[in-house]
Amino acid sequence: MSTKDLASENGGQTHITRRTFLRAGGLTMFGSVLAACGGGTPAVPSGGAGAAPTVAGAPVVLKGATVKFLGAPWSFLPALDGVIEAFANDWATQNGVTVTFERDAQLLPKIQTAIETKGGANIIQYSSPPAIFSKALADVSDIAESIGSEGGGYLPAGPYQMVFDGKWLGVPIGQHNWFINYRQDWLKEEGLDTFPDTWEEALAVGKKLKAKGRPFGMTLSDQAGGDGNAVPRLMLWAFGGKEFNPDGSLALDSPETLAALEFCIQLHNEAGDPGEVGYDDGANNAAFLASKISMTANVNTIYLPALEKNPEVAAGMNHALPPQGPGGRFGYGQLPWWGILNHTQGADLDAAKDLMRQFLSIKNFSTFYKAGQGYILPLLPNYESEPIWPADPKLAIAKDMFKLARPAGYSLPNQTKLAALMQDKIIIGKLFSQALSTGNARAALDGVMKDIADLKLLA
Amino acid sequence: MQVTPRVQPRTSGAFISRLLHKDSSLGYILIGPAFLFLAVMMAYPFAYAMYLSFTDKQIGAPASFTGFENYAKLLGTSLFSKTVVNSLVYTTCALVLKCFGGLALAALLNRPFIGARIVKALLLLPWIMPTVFSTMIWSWIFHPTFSIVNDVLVNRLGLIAQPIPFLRDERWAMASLIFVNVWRGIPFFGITFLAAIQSVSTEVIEASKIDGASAWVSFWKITFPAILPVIIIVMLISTIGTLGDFDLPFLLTRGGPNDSTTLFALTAYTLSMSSGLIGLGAAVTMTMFPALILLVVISLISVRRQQQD
Repeated sequence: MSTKDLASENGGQTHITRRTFLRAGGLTMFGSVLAACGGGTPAVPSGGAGAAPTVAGAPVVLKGATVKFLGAPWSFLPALDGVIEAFANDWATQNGVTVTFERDAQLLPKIQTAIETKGGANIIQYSSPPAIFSKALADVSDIAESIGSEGGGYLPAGPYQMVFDGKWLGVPIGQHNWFINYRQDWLKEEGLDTFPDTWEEALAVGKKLKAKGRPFGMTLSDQAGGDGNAVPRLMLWAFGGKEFNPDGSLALDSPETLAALEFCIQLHNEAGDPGEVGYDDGANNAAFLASKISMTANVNTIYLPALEKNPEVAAGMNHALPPQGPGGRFGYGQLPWWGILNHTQGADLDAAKDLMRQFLSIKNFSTFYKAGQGYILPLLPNYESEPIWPADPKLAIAKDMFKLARPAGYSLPNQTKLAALMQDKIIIGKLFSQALSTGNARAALDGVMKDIADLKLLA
Repeated sequence: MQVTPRVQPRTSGAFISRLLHKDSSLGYILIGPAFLFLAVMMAYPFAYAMYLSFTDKQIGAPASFTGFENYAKLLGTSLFSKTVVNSLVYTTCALVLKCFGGLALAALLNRPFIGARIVKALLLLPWIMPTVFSTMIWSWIFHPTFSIVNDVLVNRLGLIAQPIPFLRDERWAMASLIFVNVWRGIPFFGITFLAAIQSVSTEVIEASKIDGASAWVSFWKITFPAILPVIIIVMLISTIGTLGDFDLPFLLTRGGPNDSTTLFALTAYTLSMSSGLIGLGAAVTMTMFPALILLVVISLISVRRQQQD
């Protein structure tokens, strides 16, 4: 940790106080002692996820600090929790810092409580846009920039979603990407080896599959915070539609959006599961695993459980890139991130930043990506040459996917509060759900434009 | 013989003892803990929510007074108008169905039959079962793909060609929500009405039968007027609970599709918690307040009249 870092932690002021000078001096001395004693050697972590990342020695000034971590459990892949905790516990032991973990699937009320009571959490892990908490998050630009430069510069989605009013509100830990999960064995019966490359071709084969009781099952619904934001956008963007223009004006009410809706109405009626307009985040997983649907869009959270509990489905399925439409081929990325609540001060802030800086560096964080097997993909190009990619050929698609993905409202230079609220309220999911339920694309679009006007008024 | 005068010791113990022996102070002492509890746990949060509703409070930011701006904003949104309409439809339909269902249930249970006690106990299950648990079961029953009802009707019996869109069609979603609320609430109505029916004098009912009144006439002319005060109180209390219902729509429909099942509490939650607009969320809850206070006043007057009768 440099003197510059310490200065930036004090509200970005560049003057050196007596305390920061002593601290920096202490760090320099500590570094010299470590170097002399051979200290700072990466420790071998114990327990946890086995091959946990390594911990570099951290400044002695952190001793006695406390870092409270609050996040949702990685319920689809508990091994990811193990990786985080193994690293953090090792880091904590080496630095004399107390680290506590609180994990709750109903995370939002806890984050809100921590913010309003100014206690209970220092580092938060969250997936929805950080703009909603913009006034409660510390500036972590220094961490994001150092990690970004180490990784070859963030893909546009990173700063797009994390930078608000010129500062990084959080550090993205990667992106969830939605790829096509399909029953390859059933497609072969229709004379296709892989999933079609265009949506028109997909519709053609989808009709045949539905006639055999094997419909597609896309989450074109407003009942799913993850899939309901992702899947409708894959369709919207593929037909040339978008939510915003680069100048911030709304671009949703367009012929391209209507074309996407009309196509999806046809896809739903002729090839889709009637229930797909009401799916929640788990419904398409369950339907695919029960062999009720032949295709859906998801991460690897169908395939990995299938390998363990439903090997027949795992053997028959495969993954593909989202097909292209008249507007091109798009992926959707949802960015989980870590941020520091701005009530964290002093040594606790130093410790929280150090933990993030060390864990999120390539040498340590690769373990996390590897454990995810494609569940969460990097946002830094230099990971392309790291040994993090799934060995399973059915998940090889992940490497093609990670540069394809765009975040919600990607045309904007940075995510605005309105764009964040549209994501939070699953507005695009609502648009598709309404259009498919009623068969009336124009009315659905008009209804959603009113909802967006409401959001503009309220925000 | 010398008599030593008794001197009252001037200690705090004696002071407390005096307070406890005085009727005028004992009342305040006894009501004090309950009053303190209500002040801290109910009045303070309520007053604070009212204050927030007049501010632009957002998560993590200080609040600034904005007067009625939040209320004006809400009135201009379709979300709020949908919330009001949904809440009225949900509350009215659920209450009417629970009332008539409860009366029918009470009338049935009032007849002696073997195993009556066990049946009464079992009927209370929907009411005593944790809402989270029962709603999870209902969400599977109404599931868009795996609904057992649809499976039976479409695949096994072949009675309908297409599955019923329980949670994905706006009207069906509201109907499903009302149905689950009624299923959960009828046992309470039924058992309460049954207790009221059983307190009606049997002599009067038997006398009416001797005079030639049918069971139907006897019920509507004698039993129903006698239990009407209980019906009114149960309805009022249930109105307050139903109008502020949160857990059921949150767990079953999340207010969707297309905000067709969002109610006051859920709209307040989504605005203040997921969107971080705490002032607006507080304003939504406050809009319920005039209706609720009216209901509370009516219920208190009813109770008082009942006591006087």
